[in-house]
Amino acid sequence: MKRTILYSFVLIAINLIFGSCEKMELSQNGNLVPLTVIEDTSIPSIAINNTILHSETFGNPNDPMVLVIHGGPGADYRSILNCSQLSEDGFFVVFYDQRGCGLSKRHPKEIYNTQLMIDDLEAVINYYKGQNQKVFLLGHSWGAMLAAGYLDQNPNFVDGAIFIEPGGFTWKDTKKYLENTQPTDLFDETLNDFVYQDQFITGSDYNTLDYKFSLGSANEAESGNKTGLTEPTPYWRFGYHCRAGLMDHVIDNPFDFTSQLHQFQPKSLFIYSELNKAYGKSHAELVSSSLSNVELVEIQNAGHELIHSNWDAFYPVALNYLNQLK
Amino acid sequence: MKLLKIFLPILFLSTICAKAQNINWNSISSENKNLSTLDFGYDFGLTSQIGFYKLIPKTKPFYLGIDVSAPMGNVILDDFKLRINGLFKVYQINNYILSAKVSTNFKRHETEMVRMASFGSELSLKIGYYRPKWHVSTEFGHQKSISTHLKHSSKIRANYPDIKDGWYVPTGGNFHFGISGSKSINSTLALSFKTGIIMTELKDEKATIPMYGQLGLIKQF
Repeated sequence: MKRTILYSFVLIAINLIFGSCEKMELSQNGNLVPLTVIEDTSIPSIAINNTILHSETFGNPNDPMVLVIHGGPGADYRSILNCSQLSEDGFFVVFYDQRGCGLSKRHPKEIYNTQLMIDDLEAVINYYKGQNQKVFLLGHSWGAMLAAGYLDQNPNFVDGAIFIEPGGFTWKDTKKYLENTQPTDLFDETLNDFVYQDQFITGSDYNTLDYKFSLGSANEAESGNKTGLTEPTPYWRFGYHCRAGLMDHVIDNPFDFTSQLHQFQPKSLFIYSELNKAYGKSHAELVSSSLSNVELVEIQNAGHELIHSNWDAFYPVALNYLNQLK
Repeated sequence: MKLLKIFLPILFLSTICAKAQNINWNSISSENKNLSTLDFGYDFGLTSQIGFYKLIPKTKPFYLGIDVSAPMGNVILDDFKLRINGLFKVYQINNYILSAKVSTNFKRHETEMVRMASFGSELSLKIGYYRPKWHVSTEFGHQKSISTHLKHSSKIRANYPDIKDGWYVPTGGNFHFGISGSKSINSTLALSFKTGIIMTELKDEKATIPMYGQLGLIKQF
């Protein structure tokens, strides 16, 4: 009898402690990740290709257009917003969060494939491009791969391209780069942190999984990372379903963006960073070999996120290249 | 790495440890009513685990115990799991035994982005073939993070200032299914193992590494 009373008091105490707290759900809009263009219509957006993308422009729409394509897959353009400075030097700068990324509309992961992302890119170009307007692509990481995918299919519609550390233009090269970026120490804090959270948070909805993805991104800049990151890069909201869907797709359907890429005749600028030990000159030469007319430039004192971390070193190189083709 | 340096010597020097869930119910001695355990393996990270269990005098064998595990890493005690466990034999036909484990747990996890503190529960059932010096069994279980407190850092707030700290319910759950066993080294010491797969609930995305595996020592005293 005494035990029953004791247990009852313990249960009541636990109930009071937790019952008095406000309880929230991971999946509730706005709790852990910002709203997208669907929930917040004040966010600048464009409707293309049966989706709605978060998109902004800077500069005079009549100037030559620079379409900035962010990395990931699954990241967003917040970390490369420095590129808006090109608008002060006579360029019309266009940003967009890819389908399912950043503040753009979410979709089930089953719909994602490389062709869909290339089609979205083409639709964004067509949405903003004026008559006889020159178009330049500036792609970072996965965004540079996507640019290559577009140019492989449309080698004559763009006037220049800046590729910043694309993992590869084929799945084979990309896989090699991704393997180089992985931590090799099984006892490493970063690696164990990444998998440990799986027992705290599981889910299938966009809010929960995008939040969980953002927690994993914290590890990218921890000491000992191979891509030369010294601090976490800013973002709005990661897109888990985009990344998972595309990874599932390319594993089953390895891509090759090099079949017609050599037909892209304008000079390309290919950038790699000094501090990204997983990349380096040899990988830059391997990946860029599919381009017929290319200049390789190493950005000193910067890692993979060089647009964010060493803009001052990158910008003159990019501006000089664009002015040559303007 | 520091944890490894601490736990490995213990692992090799200890003669008193094993996997409590891997108790060989047919080798329990009335003279030795306590169990100590030590395990190393993969369980949502490379983890080390120590535990202590006491045989509670009941009609059926019932162990009440506590164990604590932590993943490898440079920072000690930022991540750990503490469990209070009840282990009992449910039914026996000859050498075949159905046993159960009921646990309540407290988990902590901290990164540069967030500090998580979670209360949860675990239930697992095991059916096995038990001989005095060894056993093999299959196990099926479920763990639930019932309530998790999230406290976010300034780094993640820099990206999303309106992110909400507080208690979230429930935050996740996993099933596990696998095999386990043990082999006696002497009358009071045994080696144990367990391995299996981890499945998430309903349509939840699967774990990054959806498996577990542990090796351990168990000592009765």
